[in-house]
Amino acid sequence: MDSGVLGAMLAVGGTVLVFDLARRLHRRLGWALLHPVLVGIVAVIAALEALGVRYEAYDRGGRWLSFWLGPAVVALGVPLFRQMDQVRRGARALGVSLLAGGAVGIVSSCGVAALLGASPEVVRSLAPRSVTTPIAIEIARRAGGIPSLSAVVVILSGVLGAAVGPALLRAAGVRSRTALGIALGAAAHGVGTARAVEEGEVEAAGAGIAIGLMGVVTAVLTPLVLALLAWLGVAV
Amino acid sequence: MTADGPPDRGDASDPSAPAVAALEAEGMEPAGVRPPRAAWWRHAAGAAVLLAFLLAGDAVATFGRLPLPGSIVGMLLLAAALHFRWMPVAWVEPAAGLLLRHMGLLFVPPGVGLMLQYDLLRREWLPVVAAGAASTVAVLLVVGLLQQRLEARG
Repeated sequence: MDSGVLGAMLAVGGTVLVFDLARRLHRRLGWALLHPVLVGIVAVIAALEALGVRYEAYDRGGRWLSFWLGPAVVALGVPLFRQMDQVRRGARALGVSLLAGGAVGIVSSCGVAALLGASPEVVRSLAPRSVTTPIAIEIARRAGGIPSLSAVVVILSGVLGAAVGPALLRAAGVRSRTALGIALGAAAHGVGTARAVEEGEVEAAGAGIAIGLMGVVTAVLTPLVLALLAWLGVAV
Repeated sequence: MTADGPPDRGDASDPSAPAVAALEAEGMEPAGVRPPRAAWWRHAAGAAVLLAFLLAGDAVATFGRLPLPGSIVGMLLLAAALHFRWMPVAWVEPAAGLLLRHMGLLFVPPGVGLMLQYDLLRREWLPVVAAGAASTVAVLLVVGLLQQRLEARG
């Protein structure tokens, strides 16, 4: 067996092991900010730095795992099918709240970054913050941002939203299970959806549909909001 | 291949079994779609069906020039296929349940890609982190509260 395959298997096995430990720790302690995705990412980075392994070498194995993200998103069709009636009942509300959420997402991320003195390029990269990574990269490219920065922000906010989302929403008085799932999918895309799956099937279905629609809404709104911000003199 | 295929099953699914058991012990359903223990070939067949829907979704998104990734289109196609009974849910259930229960794991490798952005994060970490956090919280609250209010109104 050549060393490339062996290294890749080590990367996969190590990631699975680290993530499993992170998940047990999360259950044991129950601290929201110790979300297993966040702890897993930090622990793997620390291990790679300590061992002097470059990201490209790690990702030759990591890709064997992230490859399954595509089929996992497709698999959300199962809870969506099971909860079709519930989602349909909320359909009109869904259109309105995701339009509002999309606009708030772009304005708040670009606005805060611009006010804190981020470079125009960075501001443009932050516009697609609340959509799933593959869509975010496409939107950033079209808007003149840095696609890899968009990917970073998408993952960071996904982890944050997954970590604090359910507790924050309940504290704010959200009792509807569809609303909770939709908010997680809209604000925290894939990682938030993985969190919604833990909450239950209704939440999973809401999150799955919200990711898709949020992508469309943000793709359409991004150029409009950036033009508006430029007109207001906030960002270029 | 890894997360599901028969050759590596020990690697990918064993560590998770205690985790699922822990969730059950807490009286929680780990995922909405938890199947009974299914034979490996049912997982493999389900994975093949999911991959086929992913390919179909990619094709529709590319040729239809949709502003959506193929996986989202594939999700909608799968829900439609199940809804209109073109295909029984049992075909995909074991594989779908396995992938959804461990979805978080799949985000770790792309997240480790943060390593490549040290320079940029060092220069502009404050606006990036503050904007990401503020906007995540804002969208959570706006969508959650608005959705709940509109649902209640019917």
